[in-house]
Amino acid sequence: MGLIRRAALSGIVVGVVGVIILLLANPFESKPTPSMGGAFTPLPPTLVPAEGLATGHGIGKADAPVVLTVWTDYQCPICGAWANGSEPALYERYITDGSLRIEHRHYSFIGEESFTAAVGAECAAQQDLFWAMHSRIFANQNGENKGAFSAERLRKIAESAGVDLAAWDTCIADPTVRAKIEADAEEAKTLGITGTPTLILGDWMDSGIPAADDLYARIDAALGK
Amino acid sequence: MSRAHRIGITVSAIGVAISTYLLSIRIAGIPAICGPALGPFGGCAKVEASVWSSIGPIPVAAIGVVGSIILLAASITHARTTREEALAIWLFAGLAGAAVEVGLILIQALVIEAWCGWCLLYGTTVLTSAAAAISVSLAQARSTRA
Repeated sequence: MGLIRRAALSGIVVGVVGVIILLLANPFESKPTPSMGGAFTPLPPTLVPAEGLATGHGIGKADAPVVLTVWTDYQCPICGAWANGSEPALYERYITDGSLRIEHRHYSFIGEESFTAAVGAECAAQQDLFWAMHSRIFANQNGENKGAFSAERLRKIAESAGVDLAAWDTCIADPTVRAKIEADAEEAKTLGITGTPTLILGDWMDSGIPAADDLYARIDAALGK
Repeated sequence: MSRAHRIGITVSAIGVAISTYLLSIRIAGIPAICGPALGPFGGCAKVEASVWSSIGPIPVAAIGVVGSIILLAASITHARTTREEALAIWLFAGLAGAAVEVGLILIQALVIEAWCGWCLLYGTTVLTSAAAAISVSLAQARSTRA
């Protein structure tokens, strides 16, 4: 029974080590980004806001009475579903009439490509093209840490968003931009955010995609309807 | 084949099915069939969206698929051959998985503060398989002594 006893003990040890690794969170995220082969033509964004509605890091009028803050990771598939499904519905229902503004924040944690994509979006923001880049990144999600947001593909996404590539290239090499993304992630943790997407509306905060009716009811209540 | 073997094989097969489902929806980027209808266990979207749903680039559900396949293969092999190596693998994978599941359940309770019904059901299959492996090990030890 020596083998059985050893198996039992090592099983418990491996399990405990597994939990510790999980708690230390994402120890492999500094792995180099693989390149995804083949020709790549970026897909267009799902939502193209009307002129003047995409400003800063969000969409909607700057003086909209209700602001929904959304923390996302560009590699998170549920964030993709939010950006490509829920946000267009909110746009039609609340943003076009000036009732709502959606502000985006970065909580990058899934892997290196989460950070490089966020850096790419921030560098587009320096040219007032944050939303054009942000929405295209989500439209071109393709798995996690498989090269969907490799340097060459992000550059093509940036090009399709209309950014000045020379300035963008200089920006993404600037370590202070990356530091800002990392600071955003730390801020998210400080706020008690444990996953993405996380939505904040006034005092309400929740992770995941809420039921549409529940979210609409919360926005309506905030609007005093 | 003992009752413990049958239980171990059945729950491991269920574990493979659940973890495969959770992994496939993760890859597809669609929410699990899990919501207010499941009452307090309807927090799957919140758990899936959490930082603890993956270890670096590896979804926890993928580790679950591999773990449950090992549990299933080892329990079937031991039921058919009674080879000690198969029981050792079953016990090793079962106890390692059980420790991880206890950790994940505590994370759901204390950190995420949401319960994912599918994850809890999967955790139950791992804990039950580990219990079955312990039961078979004890029975084998008793018969060896006798």
